[in-house]
Amino acid sequence: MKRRKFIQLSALGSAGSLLLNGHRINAFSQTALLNNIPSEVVDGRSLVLVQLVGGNDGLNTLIPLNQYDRYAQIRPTLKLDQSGENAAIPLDNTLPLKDQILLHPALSDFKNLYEAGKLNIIRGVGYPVGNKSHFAGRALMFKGGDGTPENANKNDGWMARFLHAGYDPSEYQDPLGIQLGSKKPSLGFHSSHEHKVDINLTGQDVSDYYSVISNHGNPTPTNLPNSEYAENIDFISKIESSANEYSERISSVFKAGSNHKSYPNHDLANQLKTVARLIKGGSKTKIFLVSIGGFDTHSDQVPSGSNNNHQGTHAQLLQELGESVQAFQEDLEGLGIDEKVVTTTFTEFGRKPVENGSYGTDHGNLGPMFVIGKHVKGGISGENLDLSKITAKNHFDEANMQHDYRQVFTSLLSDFMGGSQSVINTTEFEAFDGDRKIDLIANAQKVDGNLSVDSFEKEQRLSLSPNPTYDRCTLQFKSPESFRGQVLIYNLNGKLATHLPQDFVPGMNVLILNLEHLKSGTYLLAIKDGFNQTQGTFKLLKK
Amino acid sequence: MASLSPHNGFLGKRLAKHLLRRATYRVNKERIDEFSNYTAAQALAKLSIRPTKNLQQPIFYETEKPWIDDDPIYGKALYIDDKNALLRSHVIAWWLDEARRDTSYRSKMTYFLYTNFTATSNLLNGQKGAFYDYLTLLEFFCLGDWKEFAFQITKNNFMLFFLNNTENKVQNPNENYAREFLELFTIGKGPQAGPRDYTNYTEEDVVEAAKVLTGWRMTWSQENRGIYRTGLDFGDIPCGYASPNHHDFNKKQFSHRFDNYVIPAWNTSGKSEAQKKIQMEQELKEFINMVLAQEETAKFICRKMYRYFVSRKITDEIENDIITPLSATFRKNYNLEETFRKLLLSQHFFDEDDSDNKDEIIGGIIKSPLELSLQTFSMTDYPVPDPISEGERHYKYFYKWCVQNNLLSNAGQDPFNPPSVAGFSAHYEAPDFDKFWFNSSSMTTRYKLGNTLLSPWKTGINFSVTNFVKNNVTNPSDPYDLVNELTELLFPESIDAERLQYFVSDILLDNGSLTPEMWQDEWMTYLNTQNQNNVEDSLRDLFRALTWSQEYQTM
Repeated sequence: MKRRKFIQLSALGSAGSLLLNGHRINAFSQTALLNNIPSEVVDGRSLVLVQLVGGNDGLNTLIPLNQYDRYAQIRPTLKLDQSGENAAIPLDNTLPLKDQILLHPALSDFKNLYEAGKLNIIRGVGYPVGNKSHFAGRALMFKGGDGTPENANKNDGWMARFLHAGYDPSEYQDPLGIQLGSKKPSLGFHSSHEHKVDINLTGQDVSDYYSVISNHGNPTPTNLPNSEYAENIDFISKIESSANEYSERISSVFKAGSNHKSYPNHDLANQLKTVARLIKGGSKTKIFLVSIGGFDTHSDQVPSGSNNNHQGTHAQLLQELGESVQAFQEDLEGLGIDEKVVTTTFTEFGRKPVENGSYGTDHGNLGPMFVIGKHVKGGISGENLDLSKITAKNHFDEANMQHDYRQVFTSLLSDFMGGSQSVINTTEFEAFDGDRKIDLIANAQKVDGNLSVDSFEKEQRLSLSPNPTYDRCTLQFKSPESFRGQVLIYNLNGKLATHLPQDFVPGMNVLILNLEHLKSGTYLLAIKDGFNQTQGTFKLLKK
Repeated sequence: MASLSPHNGFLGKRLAKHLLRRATYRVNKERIDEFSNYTAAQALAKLSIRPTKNLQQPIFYETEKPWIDDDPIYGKALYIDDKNALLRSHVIAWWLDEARRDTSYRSKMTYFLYTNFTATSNLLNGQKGAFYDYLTLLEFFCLGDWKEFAFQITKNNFMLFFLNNTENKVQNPNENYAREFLELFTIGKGPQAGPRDYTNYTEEDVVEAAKVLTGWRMTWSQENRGIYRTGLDFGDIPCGYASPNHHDFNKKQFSHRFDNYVIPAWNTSGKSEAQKKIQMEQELKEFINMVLAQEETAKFICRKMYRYFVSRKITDEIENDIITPLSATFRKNYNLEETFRKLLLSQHFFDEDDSDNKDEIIGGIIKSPLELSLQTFSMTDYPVPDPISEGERHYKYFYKWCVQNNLLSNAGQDPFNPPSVAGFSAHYEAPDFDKFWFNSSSMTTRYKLGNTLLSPWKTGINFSVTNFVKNNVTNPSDPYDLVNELTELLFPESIDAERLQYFVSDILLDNGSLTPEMWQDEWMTYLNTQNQNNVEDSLRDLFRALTWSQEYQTM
């Protein structure tokens, strides 16, 4: 008895083209492709996000060489040796002394990647108002928020916003996002959007996913009264239909793919191995999210009282990270698909520079991110953190932050994945676009290269004069429809400086803005509609 | 307006099964029939009667001895040093089996308390009974005094180890437990009001709380287990101890979030060790009192309770009409049972507080894997092997391999090993909460539940759907009555004619390859010959389809 028990995708589920502001949007609709990279090349690219769950200790990952003595003072039991057999690894002695770094000895693979010009280390990453809760910290980073009141309560994940804004799911056979390594669906893919574009494959036999899915399930019950019960049934049915929609493709892509080299036996390595195989098999999934847990090292970060600080929990984790990423990179090269992939690590927060006395460290603020790939511009970004003012009470705080994590993601979404300005806006990363991007992708491979602010503005329906401006300026906005929205002005840290509710009418709207209370500097002005969708942005300079 | 006023009148079957599903892991036809004749008050009175457990602790099948404590029936405990890793899974198996049998709301409330003060540790495994003692403590307090519990759990060995408080010393403060105590266990974290300020408390409060908590240490070895105990009034459960040498007796200054509360410095000179220990205990209790004096703490726990038992949706109306008055009840004496009963007695819980009694609450929660599994076992009277006479099959093959590994972990709920310190996302992460249980990863395991239970090579058990039908359906020879009666048992709400037709003709009658008359003949043949073969095949298809239906995922 064979019955196909899954419904076909409902009309609702296959919502078709995504319409935004009345226009069909996709990632390439307006990029100038300065480097003449064919759009099918850009469309073949994928981001792999490696989540270091628990809060990685940045200071034992990267030690500022010129401040080794201070480091040793605040880390009496955790410190890694500067010389000897198990010493931390000097990253690059051709750099000026103030920039030199010692890598954790378990990260020798990262040193290799650095020397091959495939690794960029970004120092001092955080966000404007730190949150030392694991859950709040993680949720903020997945939702693209920060600890400021205006950015603390975003509903959707930034990955979901990016995928919905940049791609038309009906044109892709593959789920746009795939999560491995955690049975809990990531908040990053969380969306109130009715069409699910991501799938969680954790714990599944990928090659058999389709046969398992397709042999289970009933048609969706109908005629249910409007109720919470009916909402649940509807929710369950949508998960079923997206799994059904993608499962056959995932299984066939997985079977068509292969791996070129063997991986070490780590959970993270296994996840990355599946990713490589899916991409080799033809998957056009845009974002792969993998994870490795255990970084919450409040105690026993190193073996207690043994003088073997190159070993222990943190060393094992970094070893697993380094070996897995290195194996993945080699596999991609062997498979001839390394130009398609950029990998980046992230973690919910750093740890306090001063150790806690239990051979561990407590929750802190800042830490490094690692970006890896063939097209990555190798090197190090930012400066070594200044340890001189650190005390038990005064650990790194937001004032020492050099990079917002959203600058890193925006740079990759824009320069590597080809996200246009409007896509970045809808991802709610507009404050990190333009000259706040970090130079992470090799120039020849940048999708939107050095598009000037002017060329963006021409395409906008929004203008502001005079610019640069003084206390008053005139805003002109050509609206496609009438809506109640807001004019928002952000400073370049992404902090909201002012906002003004406003009704817009179809056609040209003219507003006089009073900017007296703004300090001089560069700001980003945005118009958002009632659904919090960005309708236009403009960079303004207040004299 | 949502109302906490008590529900009046007899429950009837629909509300009886609603109450049983939400308040217990033991739902079956016999109980639904019994409870349908009770009022809500009678039903809750009945559910408050805690039955004697089948076993007080796991008995290890290899030694046939109790594993942890001496036992009046099974003799002296035999602790085996090299089997620690096994002990933990056996304690969990024991807890699951007792939960399946539990006719009261005790087990459901114990697990609720687990979602409140969550601890787990793979390092500690089952070692030295620490995990068992932790579970016993949760169970002892699950219907009792939550304020005392907040004190006792703080000095529980398993918790002291899990959140590193055993390493929190005046010489080297470790703020892990202090932070989670505020953020996850008691007052909860509010919106970020500014740098280092989370509305309900600040980063400075975490530091000061860590000072209060210095010097509470765990006892490590099996030999030392039980040297320190919670006392006869509180279950006499082994616990950790106060170590004055490691305690910070200096002043603790809390922030404006606690009205600048101060626990003054205490001069230790000339004081005995015993006096110092008493002082430490008083400080800890004073700190707990300070946190519990904030109205937000009772509200935080009541919201947790509401989401766990009633609904993920807390609107302004629910906040004002349910959470606020419920938290006032809770604040009176922090009695968990009184608060829980007030909530489950309410018209609101039965969706009877407005004109539409079918639009909220009932069917509004996605079952956790634990609820899905245990309630299926009890509903089908699943023939679980006996823990004594078939110990290895019971502990190892059924509960460890089949239930813990196959059904629960694969569906995202290794029940006492959540993915993070906060527990399972379903219990804390807005706005989805229980929706987290159902996703493209957990879906396959959940939908394979029926299949798994019908696979002897996975369970070690032969389960007959025919027997289940015979014992629970009054008129199985009529396919429509059969499906109707089964869905009435299994689903939150009745199904409509179209759905009935689907289960009858597409599934049971196999797309028309059988007619209702042929089914009737088959059933009569079975009754006459006792040969189940012919009906069993068709009933298995029906059982699979009912358990993988969308309706069965909800409660």
